[in-house]
Amino acid sequence: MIMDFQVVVLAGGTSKKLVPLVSEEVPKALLPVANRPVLSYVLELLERSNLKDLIVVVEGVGAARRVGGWISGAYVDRLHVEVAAVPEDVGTAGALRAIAHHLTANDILVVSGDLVCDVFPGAVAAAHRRYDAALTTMLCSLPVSGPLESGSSSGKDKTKKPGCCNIIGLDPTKQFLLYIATGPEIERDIRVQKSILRAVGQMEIRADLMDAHLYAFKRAVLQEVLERKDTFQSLQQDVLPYLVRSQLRSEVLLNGAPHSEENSHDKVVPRNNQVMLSQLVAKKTTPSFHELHVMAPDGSGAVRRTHKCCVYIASQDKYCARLNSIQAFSDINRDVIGDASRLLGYSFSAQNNIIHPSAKLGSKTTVGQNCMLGEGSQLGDKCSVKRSVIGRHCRIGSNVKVVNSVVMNHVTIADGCSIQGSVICSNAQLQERAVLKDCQVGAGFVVTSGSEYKGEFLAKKER
Amino acid sequence: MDPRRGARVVIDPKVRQVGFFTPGAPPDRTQSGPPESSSLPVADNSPSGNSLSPVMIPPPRHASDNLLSARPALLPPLRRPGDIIPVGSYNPSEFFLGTSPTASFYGKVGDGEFSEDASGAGWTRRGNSGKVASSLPSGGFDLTAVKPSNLTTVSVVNMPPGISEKSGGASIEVQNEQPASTRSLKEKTSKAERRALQEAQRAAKAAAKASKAPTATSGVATSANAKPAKASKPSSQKKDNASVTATEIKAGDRPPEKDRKKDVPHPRMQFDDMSRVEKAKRRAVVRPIEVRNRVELFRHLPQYERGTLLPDLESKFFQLDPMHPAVYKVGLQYLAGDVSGGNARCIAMLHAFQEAIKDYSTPPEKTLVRDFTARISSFVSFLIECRPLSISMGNAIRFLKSRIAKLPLSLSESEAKASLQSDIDRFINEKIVLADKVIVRHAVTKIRDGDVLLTYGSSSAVEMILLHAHELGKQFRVVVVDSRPKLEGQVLLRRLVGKGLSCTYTHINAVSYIMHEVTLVFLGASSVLCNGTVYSRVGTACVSMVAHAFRVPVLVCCEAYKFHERVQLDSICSNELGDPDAISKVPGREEINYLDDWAKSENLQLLNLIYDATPSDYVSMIITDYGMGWNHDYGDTSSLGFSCLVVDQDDGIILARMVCATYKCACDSAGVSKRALMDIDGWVK
Repeated sequence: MIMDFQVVVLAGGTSKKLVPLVSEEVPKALLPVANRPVLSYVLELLERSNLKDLIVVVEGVGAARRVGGWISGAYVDRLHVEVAAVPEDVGTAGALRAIAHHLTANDILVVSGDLVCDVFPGAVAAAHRRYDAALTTMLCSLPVSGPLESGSSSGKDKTKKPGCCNIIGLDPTKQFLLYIATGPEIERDIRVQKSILRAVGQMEIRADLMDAHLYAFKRAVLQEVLERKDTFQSLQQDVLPYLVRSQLRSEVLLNGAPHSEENSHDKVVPRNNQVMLSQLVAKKTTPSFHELHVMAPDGSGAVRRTHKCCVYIASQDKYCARLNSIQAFSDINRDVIGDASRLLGYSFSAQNNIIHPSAKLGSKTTVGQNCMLGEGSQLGDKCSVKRSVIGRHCRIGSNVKVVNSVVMNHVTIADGCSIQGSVICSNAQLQERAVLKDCQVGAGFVVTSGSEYKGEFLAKKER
Repeated sequence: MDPRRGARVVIDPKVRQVGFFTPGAPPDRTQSGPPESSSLPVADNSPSGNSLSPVMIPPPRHASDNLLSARPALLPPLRRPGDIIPVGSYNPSEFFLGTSPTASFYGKVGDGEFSEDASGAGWTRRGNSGKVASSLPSGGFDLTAVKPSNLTTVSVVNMPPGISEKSGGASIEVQNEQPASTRSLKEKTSKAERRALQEAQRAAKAAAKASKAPTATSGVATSANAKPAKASKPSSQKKDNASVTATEIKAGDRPPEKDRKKDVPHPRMQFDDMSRVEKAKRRAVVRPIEVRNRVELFRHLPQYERGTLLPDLESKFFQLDPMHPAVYKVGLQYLAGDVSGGNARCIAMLHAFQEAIKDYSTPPEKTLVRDFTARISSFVSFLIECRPLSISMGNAIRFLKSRIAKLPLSLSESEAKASLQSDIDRFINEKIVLADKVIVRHAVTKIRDGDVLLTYGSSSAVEMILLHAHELGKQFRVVVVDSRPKLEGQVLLRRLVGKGLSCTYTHINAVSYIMHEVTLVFLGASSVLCNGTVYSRVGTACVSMVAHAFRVPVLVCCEAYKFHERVQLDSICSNELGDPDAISKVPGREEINYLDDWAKSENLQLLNLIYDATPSDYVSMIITDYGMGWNHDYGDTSSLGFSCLVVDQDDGIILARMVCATYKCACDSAGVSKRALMDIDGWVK
């Protein structure tokens, strides 16, 4: 527990949003992004931040076993990870509730397992500590969605609104969170507490920021909220808005212990001195609107309780995205081998691509820039690969075109296929001259020869 | 100490005519007329009586004092007119004594109890001076006894925790040994030899690495040990105040490595010295980017790009392994400017240290005394990187370190920790909280009905004074003078108005207009230096000079723990630079941000000074927890600083070192202030 922080990674289970891609065998956390499970990006980010004691929460026992197996293989001797399995569909808040009794540190860092970013969680934690906040969340600018340069599909993508859009209200200093609407709330009217508005004076409402699902909570607050509001299912949709809403009339911490640091000196310092002392410090700290609200001259002697909800806004040059939709999946794959290649940590070749030395290329086959070719994959003659990721041990015939696509492991693609903007899961088979455009092919699915699909989910029937 | 204190007679603290009660000051020199300025007859003889106290005046001065004391008797009639018409004569020396009620009050009380004072002080002083003499060497001894540990300890702390904790493995031990042996070798070789060695190594290095070579040779070879040794240095050198003594002591106890002493940089980092800056950078936790355009005169002060510092520190949150979270938080708050003000920063730091003590456990094969001193040093150097220490903090750190050093070895770890924690509590309680109470009690006596009080910025002590006077039902008005960029006065104003005080708010540009109606100026201070200079928020000097010109008494409230031995004549050589953006940008008013893209221009240098030094000439009175003193001339203020010093030595704080010329005077006044301390204790109980 470095700096008195405990880290919980919410790795999810088999998300419904990603259905043809995820399956019992491949839970969401293990979806490959540039041939690495997406969870590895979070774990490595944490490892680089020197956070090596983690709790990974996975929905579903089977998924937990798989994730646990993978972690123990990949991170043995590097991280100390405990995997907790929670029932499916309990939501993020439910998952935290299930492991709440394991939390002991003063503050809890909750990270979503599908986060791909290079913002150091330390920054969030530091902002959290600095303001002694009950909750700190990281906001980042909305990722660019849709394929970069394919004119035909861009129009279509615009209609497909990114699902992760939030409406966020900030104070003028951009340090406190005053309002947040997520999910279905966005469609409704914005309701802002008058008291908050009065206390702050000015509120900035932003729709271009995204909640990155990287939170720092005060443990006592989190546990209390989870315990008392047992209907809360989601952190983002229930817990977060609740804490933000109630920040000026805090209900949490009321029966919890007051500030521990003040408590510890009680024996030695007489009471009134203690009061004077805390005033002395409080007066010289720059007051946030919370404190100003508390000391507002309204005559009543009652002490108003507040807690602070802070934000950390990641700078524009940082990459931050969440893998929570199929579109996001292909976007992230594109970015990680393209613009945000620093996340990957691999060195690119002179052609700005990564080709595993054991991959075999036929004659006149070209692999363009921002491509990745996994271990042991074979490409036939006259193939062309552009801005795509091809997994391990794929067998690809001759005259195959792969553009803007993700091909996972052990995929067989016969001669003359053309794949554009698609995701092809492991063990799928594409027979000759299949043409796929913006399709998702489930694991083990066989695309018959000569077939042509556009914008479809292709998966085995039994699922 | 305590039993002795208990035995003493409890005397009202107002009595302390500490050494700074000026002998030559004609008591009638009163100005700025509160109407009841007529208690002159009493005042007449009293100060002279005071100053004549045989206890306080060294023989040679005695005669002159007598002369002086004779003068007031002659002068009153002449001075009278000036008295009645407040803005009459312009003799600055007249002005110093401030309001007459105070003076007369002073005199009276002093007179009444003077004899007691003298008799009581007689043996006190002797005892005390004896104590000073004896305690100094012993203190030195203590420190030397401890300091060698510093060397070894430090090397331990900075060793990767894995090694120190899991040192069971044989391989690790071997690793450990190697650097140690190289180092001992290094120490034995003379400087020249080492240099030769270094040259050879440097030659061996590839030419490409030429710039890195010096680091590499010393750094790589002894990586484990060399670093910690370095790390120990900044803590002592960079902290402004402790520096002098600390380096002295350090040098003293390491006779074998004499040249190391030369290595010790100047007590305060001169940031225009490139090589030193480079060195400091290498061991810094925070990687600051220095501002390119600095004002020539202030090149020696550190100035960093504020924008980069905070994110850099934030992103390293989890990487600062040995840092305690509470200390980190405080550092962050300093850096971000969330906590400012000498008292608040000091308390925040001490609380953080308390947390650190609570969570501390001595690593195996180490002793608490040694290891924890090093730990504190690393905390302190971290805090310095966040923001240069204030003098109050420096004194508090010195106190804490001396407490650690004096911990009896027989104490168990938990006992030692408890004792340190209660020491810190006591420090906060006595030196800050109670000190403020006493200051308030003193200062309130100076406020009379109908007064118009001016204050500048936001000083916690002044605020308490104002609020307390208001509670006492005194009728007065407050003028809050404020300045950009921090606008601290607004926060103070908000609280004062909230409590129902009648206030006027103005900016410092209007101070000369508002000064007409002001009868008393209360100022806070970051520090009071040995020569009576008041080191305080920038703008204080301006306000007090204007007040001086208008013959308004300036009362500076400063807790005694903020006193410092340093002598400073200007605010250039030691100061702090704030964020230049803060003055070039006006928050919330984009339309007047004319300098937006000019900040990078080569021809523009922005200067945002944090402190300034007010010469003692412009300060009429200093109010501390040991009493208040009219400021008359140089020597007297220094003896004020001095008297506090001697008392404090018992608690391990050395506020001021001996100044030879005033040595005797200081010892004399020590007796008095010793009693003052007791008085305070008695009053509290």
